[in-house]
Amino acid sequence: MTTLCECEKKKEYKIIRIDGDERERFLSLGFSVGSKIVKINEIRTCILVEIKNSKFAIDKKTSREVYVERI
Amino acid sequence: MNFLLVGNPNSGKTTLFNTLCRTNQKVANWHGVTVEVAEQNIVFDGKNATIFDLPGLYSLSTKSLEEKISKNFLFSHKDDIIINICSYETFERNIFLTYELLKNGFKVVLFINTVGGKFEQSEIEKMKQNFGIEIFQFDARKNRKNILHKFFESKPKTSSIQNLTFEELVALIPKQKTKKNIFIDKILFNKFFGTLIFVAIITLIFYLTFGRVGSWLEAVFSKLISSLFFKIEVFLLQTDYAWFSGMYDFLIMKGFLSVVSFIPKLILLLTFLWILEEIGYLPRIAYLFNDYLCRYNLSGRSIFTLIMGMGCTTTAVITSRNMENKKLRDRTATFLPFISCSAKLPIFVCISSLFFQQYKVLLSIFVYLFGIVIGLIVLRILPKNKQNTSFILEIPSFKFPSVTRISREVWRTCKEFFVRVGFIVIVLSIFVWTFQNINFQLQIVENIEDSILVKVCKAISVLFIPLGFGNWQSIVALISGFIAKESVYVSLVMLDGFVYFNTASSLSFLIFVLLYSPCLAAMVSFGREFGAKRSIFTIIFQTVLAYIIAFIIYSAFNIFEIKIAILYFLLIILAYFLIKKLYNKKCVDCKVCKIE
Repeated sequence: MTTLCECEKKKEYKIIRIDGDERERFLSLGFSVGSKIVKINEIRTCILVEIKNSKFAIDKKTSREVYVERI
Repeated sequence: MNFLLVGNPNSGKTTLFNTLCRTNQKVANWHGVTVEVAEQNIVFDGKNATIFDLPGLYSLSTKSLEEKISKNFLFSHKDDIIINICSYETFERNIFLTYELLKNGFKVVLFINTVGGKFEQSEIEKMKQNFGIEIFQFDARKNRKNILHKFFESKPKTSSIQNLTFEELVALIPKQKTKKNIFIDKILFNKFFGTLIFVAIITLIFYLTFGRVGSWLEAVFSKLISSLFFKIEVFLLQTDYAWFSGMYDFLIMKGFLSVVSFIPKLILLLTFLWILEEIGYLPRIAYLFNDYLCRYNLSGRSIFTLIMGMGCTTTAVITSRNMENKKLRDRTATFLPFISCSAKLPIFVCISSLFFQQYKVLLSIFVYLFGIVIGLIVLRILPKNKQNTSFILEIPSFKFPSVTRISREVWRTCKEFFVRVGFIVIVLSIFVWTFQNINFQLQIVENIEDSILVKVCKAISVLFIPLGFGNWQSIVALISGFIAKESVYVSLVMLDGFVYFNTASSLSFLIFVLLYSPCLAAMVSFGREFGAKRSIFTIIFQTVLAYIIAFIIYSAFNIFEIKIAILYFLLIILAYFLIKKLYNKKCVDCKVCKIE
């Protein structure tokens, strides 16, 4: 298990757990446990992920609250 | 009967609202365009209804101001019909709000916006059965009659899904077709190429607007409109209204036409910005620029407010509501007055054409860039934001710009500009004419020098002698500019104020106009969003800062020539970034994006 921030680019992962203050926010955006997620890009402060046909930019600190597992 | 259009940001609520109500509310391809509830009465087949367009929200557990507005409105209109709009492309995500609405006992009708694809009718029927609510799908941009027919016919009901978990609900929905990543995104998300493309696009926009294309359009438009109004003047001279021709000459030919001729450049600049908004380029910039903006305790989310500020500061202040963090919103608003709004365009174009003919495009870019650099320096000096803020932003897929929508925006801008300029010219003329002709005893003066206007403005103008424009005409322009920025140019034309400028003083005046207090409407908007104290502080702070910087520019310009002055400025910026790069490799100050 790793966090969204540390996961490899362009590889498929599955959401295992979401912690932190933004948990509700993530759920409302479709980041539910079990959903397939792919990190498609990364810059110094942010990552870009693709989930359920949508792309999201997430700052690195917040992305460390999302735990994922390689499919 | 009330219909409430509710849904995730960017699902097509305002597009549907515009289609149904035949209105022209602002629509764009990024999150947070609608920040207030819009309302419109309609009559269809003899039935009356009111349609409400609510700001987008992802769920009922809200965070940002615009989401709170929607949530409060929803709970205060619980008995009305909720039209929950979901986009086909992001249906699986959008359905979370539907789930929450149904769980909270709202009467919902589900509307699937088919821009980007649609479900099979059998799939819709199956969902209707599973969800226990009415569902229909249409393209939100058309089919007005069919949609309204469905709206009026619909019988919204509470659903039977209340016992299901969200995961169980998701299992009941059909799968959408997966979108493919387009190649251009791979380049745009690359930090180096993405930044390079952004710089190229902005340079091209400025070159086309302030360069040959803009100037050519301006000349053609000016010729057309002048000949039209000249014909009216000739006609007036031949009639019993010949006495009116003097006033007509002052009001229309001198005041109105001089500023209206800038419309092509204004349209060109705003059209490019609308296209960038429409296609969904701004969220990509927000992602890419988060790195840079974090250093100034801003966020990628600030980009939307700042780009809107290039159009109008007043609306940009309201757009800042899409930011969840109060301090981030505050810092973005601090930076906003340094972004030059489109109302300042006439004065920039005029001064650059009159005094810097050879470098007019360069000077226009320089003025915009100068404002941004000063704003960033101010943010650096201000105390840092210690509050942690997260940055989560949806990046919508690229869309083709809608020609109809852009032409509507062009038409709306032209109309507003004509009306505003017409109003400014009339009010300003009456004001100037009255106070130019009476003294403090309210008697008609023979010599203009004895009038209230000249005496008061001359007294104030003493303060501006160190800045190079210590004449009363410039003071009238600056005071009127506080009411509306377009009137800076109108006043100078009416009072023949440009003859008092030389190269140095014109540049100093340009910088002063760029930086001094935003207009009254923007300040009222500031007051409403951030409080009256903050608004008054902004007026004083911006004006004092503008004074100091214009003084430095004027003094420097008297020593160096423009080429050397711009070269020095660019070298200083380059040196600043090089030194920063060497000494500050990590983003250590910023609590938002701190990297271990």
